[in-house]
Amino acid sequence: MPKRIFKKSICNLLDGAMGTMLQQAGLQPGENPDLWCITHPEAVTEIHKAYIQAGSQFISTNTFGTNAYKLQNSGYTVQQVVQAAVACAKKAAEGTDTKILLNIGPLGQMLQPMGTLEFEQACHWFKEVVAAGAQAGVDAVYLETMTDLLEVKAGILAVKETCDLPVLASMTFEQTGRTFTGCLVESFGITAEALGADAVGINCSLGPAEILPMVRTLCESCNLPVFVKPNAGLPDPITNQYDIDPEQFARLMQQYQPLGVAAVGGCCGTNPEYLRCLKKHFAGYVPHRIHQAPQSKVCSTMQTVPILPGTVIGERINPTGKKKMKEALRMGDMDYLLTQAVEQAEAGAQILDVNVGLPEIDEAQMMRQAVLAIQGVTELPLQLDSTRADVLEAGLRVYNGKPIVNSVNAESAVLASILPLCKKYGAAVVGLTLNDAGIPASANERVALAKQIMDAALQAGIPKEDIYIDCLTLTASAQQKDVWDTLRAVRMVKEQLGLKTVLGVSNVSFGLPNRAQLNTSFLNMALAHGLDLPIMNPNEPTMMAAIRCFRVFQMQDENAAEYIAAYGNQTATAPAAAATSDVSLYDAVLLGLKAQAGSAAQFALQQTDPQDLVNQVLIPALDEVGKRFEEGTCFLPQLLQSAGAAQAAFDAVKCAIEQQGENGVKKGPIVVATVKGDIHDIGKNIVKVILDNYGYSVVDLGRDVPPEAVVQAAKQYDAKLVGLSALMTTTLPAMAETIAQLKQAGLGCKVMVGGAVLTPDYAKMIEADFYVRDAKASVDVAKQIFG
Amino acid sequence: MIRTLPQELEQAEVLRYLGATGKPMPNSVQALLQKAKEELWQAASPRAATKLLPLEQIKPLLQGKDILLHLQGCDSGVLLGVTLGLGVDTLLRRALAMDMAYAVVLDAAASVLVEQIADELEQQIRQSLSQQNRFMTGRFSPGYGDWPISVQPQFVQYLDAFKQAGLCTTSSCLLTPSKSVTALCGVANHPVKGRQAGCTTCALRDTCTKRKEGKCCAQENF
Repeated sequence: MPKRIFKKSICNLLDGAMGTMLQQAGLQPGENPDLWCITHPEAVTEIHKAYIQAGSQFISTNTFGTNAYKLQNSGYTVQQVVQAAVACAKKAAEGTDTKILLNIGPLGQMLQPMGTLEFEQACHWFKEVVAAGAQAGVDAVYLETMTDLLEVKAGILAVKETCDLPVLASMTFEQTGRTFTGCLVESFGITAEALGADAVGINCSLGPAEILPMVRTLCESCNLPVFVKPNAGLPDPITNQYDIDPEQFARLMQQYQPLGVAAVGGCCGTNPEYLRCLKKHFAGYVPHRIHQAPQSKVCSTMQTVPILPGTVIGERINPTGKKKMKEALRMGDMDYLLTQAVEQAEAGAQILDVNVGLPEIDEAQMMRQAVLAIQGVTELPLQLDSTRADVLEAGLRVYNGKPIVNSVNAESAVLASILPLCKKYGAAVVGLTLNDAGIPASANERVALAKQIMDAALQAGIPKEDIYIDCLTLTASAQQKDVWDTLRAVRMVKEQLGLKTVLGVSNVSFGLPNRAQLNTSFLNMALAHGLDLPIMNPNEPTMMAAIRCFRVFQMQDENAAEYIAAYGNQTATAPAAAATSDVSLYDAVLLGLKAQAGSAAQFALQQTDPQDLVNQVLIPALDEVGKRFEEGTCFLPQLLQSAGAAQAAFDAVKCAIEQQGENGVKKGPIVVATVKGDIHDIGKNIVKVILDNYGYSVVDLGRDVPPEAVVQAAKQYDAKLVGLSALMTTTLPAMAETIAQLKQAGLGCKVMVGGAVLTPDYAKMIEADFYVRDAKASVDVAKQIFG
Repeated sequence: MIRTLPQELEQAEVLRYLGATGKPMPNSVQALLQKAKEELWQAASPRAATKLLPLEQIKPLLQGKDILLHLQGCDSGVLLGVTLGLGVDTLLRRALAMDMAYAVVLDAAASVLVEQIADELEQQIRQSLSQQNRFMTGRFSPGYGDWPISVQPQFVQYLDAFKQAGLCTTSSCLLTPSKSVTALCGVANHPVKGRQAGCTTCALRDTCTKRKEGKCCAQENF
């Protein structure tokens, strides 16, 4: 239950602007307003006092920009500023029962994956402020003007992990209905409620009229008390003056009354006069919120997904039985995971399952990394898939939105360790109907286990709508007689317990031919029995077709619009693409024709030895492209298109070599990274693609990589060559530091460096072994080292 | 401040970024360029922040010789920031994972687009100032010449760019979203040209494609 912060029977009056008031009092541009708590405490106290006299029952401290990052060169600590600020507020509130809110604004840096700020660092900075505020005696914490939902999450967690104070969270939206980072109002409401915020609101950016529809959406997306603090209209672009006077403001604010908002106030451009008018117009107002019926929904910051029958969870990011995915996880090849994520999203997945379970890797670290990276390229909500609590927590902390946890089962130890995580991080949970004794054969027993899981989850404070049950698909080849009980159990869970249902559909066909056929048929039946969330391969056209048909029959896809959009241009069956090989492999690579290169390679491999094909066709073709690039007759995109085409051919070659029973041995490995602080990845990625082409195994550590991580990877993979990239003058020192640490570790590896601002002289100065001016040059270095 | 997208992408400029000026463009690259344009126009949410301040008030920002030369004869400065928004960064990350050939074209196209939007904003400000008989120099950005990029965080703070445009810096002074531009223009009561820094102190002097073509950005537009 949310902690009570606002009184129920009256309208709670917040305060108005601090920043614009301080400017009127003489604050200069570039000056840190929060330091006025120390340098001009009487001015700050006067502003608070004026609001209290105007009717504010809640005042927020002058600490909007107070955090270790923003104060770093100020000469003051967080503790000092917060103490001074709370003292100003307390002095103003003396003799009244005004509540004091600890004001916390955005940290001023973008979190990963959008920027380089690490989630735990953000949490830490928030915790310092919260601890100082709690110590100084504030009544609640007020996170405001937030634009990144992940930062809101860091703030809420920081409060909960530091003290027992209530937490109010407020974001700021553009007229588009999204924040600068793309966060939806609905995602904010869903996520903040799931994370245990005590009230939510919208402030700043716009006036009362523009914010109104957004507050309506916020009220509909959660059952928390809602507050609003708009600006005094919109600012004039030249004079920066806001365009609504106090009386107009208060009258516009009355439109919020039918929504049952719990508290009102103002933001930029407002002053005590606005609050006085608000008080007048809200006299006698009793907040009455319409209770929202519980809805099963998950979300990312950019997208909310209601759990309806036939909501597709993509299964492809999972190493079980997938050789390539295993290899990618072992080598830390995040790009492969991302490719899988984007392909599934394009094929129609609505949620992506993420399972990175391999015994030989640091699974928790990989889960964290995967969640960040996948959220950097797709808007889809994620389902974090592991049985280990530490792995799940690593992903849950950095997940931006409301995810699904897959999974718990009916074993009490499992329930005890994982359900509290789901509660804390606001996740929906999948419960598998099995326990220490295994999967019961009969539907009745499985439903009994589902009931146990449901009771435990409710006990842990997880709402019923967030509990999904997986009745477990059994394989028809091994447990044929139990398959039908799965379907019966789905129906019973749905009808008797009223819970949403999940099934890993593809399990049914293990060990049988033409698996897609069995999977599709089973999917159709499961949907008819009440399956909500099939975990399946969305790249399988027949299965997605089954889903789209189901949505037509179920009236989800009104007027069959989605169906027509997907299949409108198609006759009954698509003609099979003719396998042509009219372009030679050499030409296909030269011209950068990916599909043709793949089929030409397959064709050629029927007669040619794989190794000969590489040495006599592929490498010469690549060398020719490289030569043209150096001469300047072909340019970068063409070079890379040829690389992509060659890659398709190499994939075919690799298959052929493996069929011969050999392992395609690659030379290397070479570790590549963009150095700490640098987020420009493109040069390093070009090098990676080209090296890969020439048969070198490349371990890509990504961007913003700390020196220690480079050293560790060089050691772990026993790399003879390390490639470092830096694009900015500000990140060159990080490159020098990385090289110094590599040399100090005494690994004996060579280092090649490149990047826009780098020069051969500078490379020499920081003791790099090679300066490479472009990707082709990096291949020459690799040849020198590995042959 | 919400900005609109231009009608067209300056394709010749994109090709220059790609090192392809004067070279024949194969159809396959033309197709990538077309796709980049379509996706950029979908994903970009251009925003801008501007602030006119007396030079007196922004003194802490004015480090090095080049920016002072640029502002000679000016009494005020227009700080401006333009960004394509985080949607474009997502698009770029996706392209980097899926298709490098497309990624380099998209990256170059986005760089050109943000400059186009900055150009347009600059022209608009110049026009509105000229109505008050005020004159403005061209843009000069942190990191250019000997103006250290380390002023970027403070620059963004003076500009209030986070609130106005969602623009901020990383701890290594890079702008996020990544396709963003900040710049300062000098303002005076008489016609001013400003002075670009030239190649001598430029961090990119060894790799600049313009310089390779024997041109200098200091010679253009001024």
